[in-house]
Amino acid sequence: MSDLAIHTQSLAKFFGKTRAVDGLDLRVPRGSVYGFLGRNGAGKTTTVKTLLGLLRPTAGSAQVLGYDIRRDLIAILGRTGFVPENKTLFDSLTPAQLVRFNRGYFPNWSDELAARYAELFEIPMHVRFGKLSLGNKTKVCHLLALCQGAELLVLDEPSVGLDPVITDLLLRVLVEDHVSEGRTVFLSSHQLAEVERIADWVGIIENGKILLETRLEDIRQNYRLIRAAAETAPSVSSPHLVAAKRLENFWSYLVARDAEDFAAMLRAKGMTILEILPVSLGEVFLGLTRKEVPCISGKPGTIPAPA
Amino acid sequence: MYLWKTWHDSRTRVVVYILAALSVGLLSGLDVVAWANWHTLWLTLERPIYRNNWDFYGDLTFDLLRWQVIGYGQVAALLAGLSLGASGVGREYGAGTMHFVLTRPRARRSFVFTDWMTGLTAMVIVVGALAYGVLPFLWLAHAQGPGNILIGLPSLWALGAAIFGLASFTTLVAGSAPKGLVLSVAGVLTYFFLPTALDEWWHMDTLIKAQDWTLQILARDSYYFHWSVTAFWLAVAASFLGASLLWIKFREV
Amino acid sequence: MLLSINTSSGLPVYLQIEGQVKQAIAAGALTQGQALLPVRRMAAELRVNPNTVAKAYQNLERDGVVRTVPGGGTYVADSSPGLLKSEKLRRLRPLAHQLAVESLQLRLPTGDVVKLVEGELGGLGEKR
Repeated sequence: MSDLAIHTQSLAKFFGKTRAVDGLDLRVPRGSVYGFLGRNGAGKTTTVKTLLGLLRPTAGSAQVLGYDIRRDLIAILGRTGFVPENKTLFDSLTPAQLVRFNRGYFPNWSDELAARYAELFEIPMHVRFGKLSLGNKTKVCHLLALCQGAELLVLDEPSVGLDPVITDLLLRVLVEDHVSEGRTVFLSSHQLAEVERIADWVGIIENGKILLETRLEDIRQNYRLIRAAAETAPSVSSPHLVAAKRLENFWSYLVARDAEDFAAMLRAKGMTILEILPVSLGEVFLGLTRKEVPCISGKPGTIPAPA
Repeated sequence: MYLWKTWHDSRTRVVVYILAALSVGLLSGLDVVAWANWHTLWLTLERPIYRNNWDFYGDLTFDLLRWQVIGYGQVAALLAGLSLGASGVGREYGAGTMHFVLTRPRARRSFVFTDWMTGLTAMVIVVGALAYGVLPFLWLAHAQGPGNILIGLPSLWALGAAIFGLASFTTLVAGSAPKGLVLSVAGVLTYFFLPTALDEWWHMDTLIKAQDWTLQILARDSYYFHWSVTAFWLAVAASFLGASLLWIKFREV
Repeated sequence: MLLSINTSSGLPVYLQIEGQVKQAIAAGALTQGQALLPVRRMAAELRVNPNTVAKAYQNLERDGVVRTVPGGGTYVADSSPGLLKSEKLRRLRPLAHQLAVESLQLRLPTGDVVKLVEGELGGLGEKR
């Protein structure tokens, strides 16, 4: 049994000329909560669909729960709870009927959990799906996935349409009933604050490739934002420099590790260090994916002195 | 589970068709008997030798009933085939639910098989329902027995299965019931009119001869079971099944 | 015992947990020998990853604030006599630095700052 819930090797998916996924190397440890982040169009949903057999990979390989996605797809689907980006189910059936439809596919289905969640999330179980609000539709999608007894949960934009109370309940349910049981949660979301709460691993995808894959702990321990001031703009370089911003005489540098050393280097160049701060996941994400002048996002490198 | 869902979706329609077929059968029977009575009465007045001639009455009724059953049977096969086919799994694409269906832990082909099973079973019931309506009147045709009326029905079912196959495949390819229906109706019309057009305008009669051969089962005055024609339509249905299975295997969502 | 986690405060979650547990002990809300919520339960209540809570508990144990029992369960430890005074001062230094920076910024005389700290210590001590 592999210790990775999801493992891809140079996975690629092209749509004609568009390279949605282009050499993706993903490693999701079993039992972790993995936040899969990326801008719109970066390849998140394409990756998820390819892992679940909705799309056929153009190149590369992948294993989910130890099963190859090309050969043993049904084994994967039987062990994975999936909440897709597009929260549509059969319009003509009620949630109660949808539960009846779905439970037959999964031997580990829990009726007890289904009843509990139906009440907890306030789902109207006897209204046709087509007539439900977006929030209720999302809840039903979660209901169907969370009660399967799945080893892996793949949630694509799980909080779409959910009010803050229900989102909070959902996080609680995930932590209490899934993470604590050693199951893996693969979470793709734009709600960085929520991801930061419950994730212990994070993977950022851009242009179909992994930009950064690390423990959240690494970000907390090592990533720092250095705020500094200088009369003249210095030229600095470091392999750990992620992004830099400037406003008149004030600079902020996002470094991935060895912040103290970098700060010392800045001091040596005559800058005044104002403070060294820990950074949130959101700041790291923005630093990496925003096109910030003068540092090229995503590539640690040199900030030239302005001409 | 998917079987239950397919049945849940089509049950109203199937019940309506059965009731329609039953009532059509019953009304046909009544209509035929009334006509036969009238005709016999007239002939009796004209030629006294026909008085009390049950055999003649029976023959007449039988012919007319057969005419009705095969006639309506074609319509039933066409309509049921088209509409049941268009409510197949292909609809799930347009409805946006295909990603849900295809992430259930089942081979993709099982969904096509489930569709076909429910559809073809429903077709048996519907096409047969015509005959059920007619059967009460068959005691009048005691001279020849019901077998020769019912003998045309399996062939009609085979034709209906082929039409079902066409509609099912086009719905799968087009991704929605309305589009699938339009494509399959276009297919049926082309099949119907193209050979005639070729014959009339370009004097190419191969196709129309082939078409005539395949449509022998629609002839109301033929009393034989057309084994080869029926096999032909079953082969057409089977090839649509094969095409559907291939299509769903490779389709991306 | 109910904690409150603020994910937008910039302070890592595990530090917030540690800080609030220490504060609760200092204010007398948590007494010696009292049990903390189990990791799983605490994580569910706070909606955070259980590993984060586990880390906070580990750090608290390393600092001698709590102790874990082999069978499971985390309890408030007896006051930590084992630590050297120099170690205790070392722990407080970052907070003192922060206080000093702010005070200089506000141009408060040292005497006023000392009185402030004494007041806080006294206030908490009364609540015990």
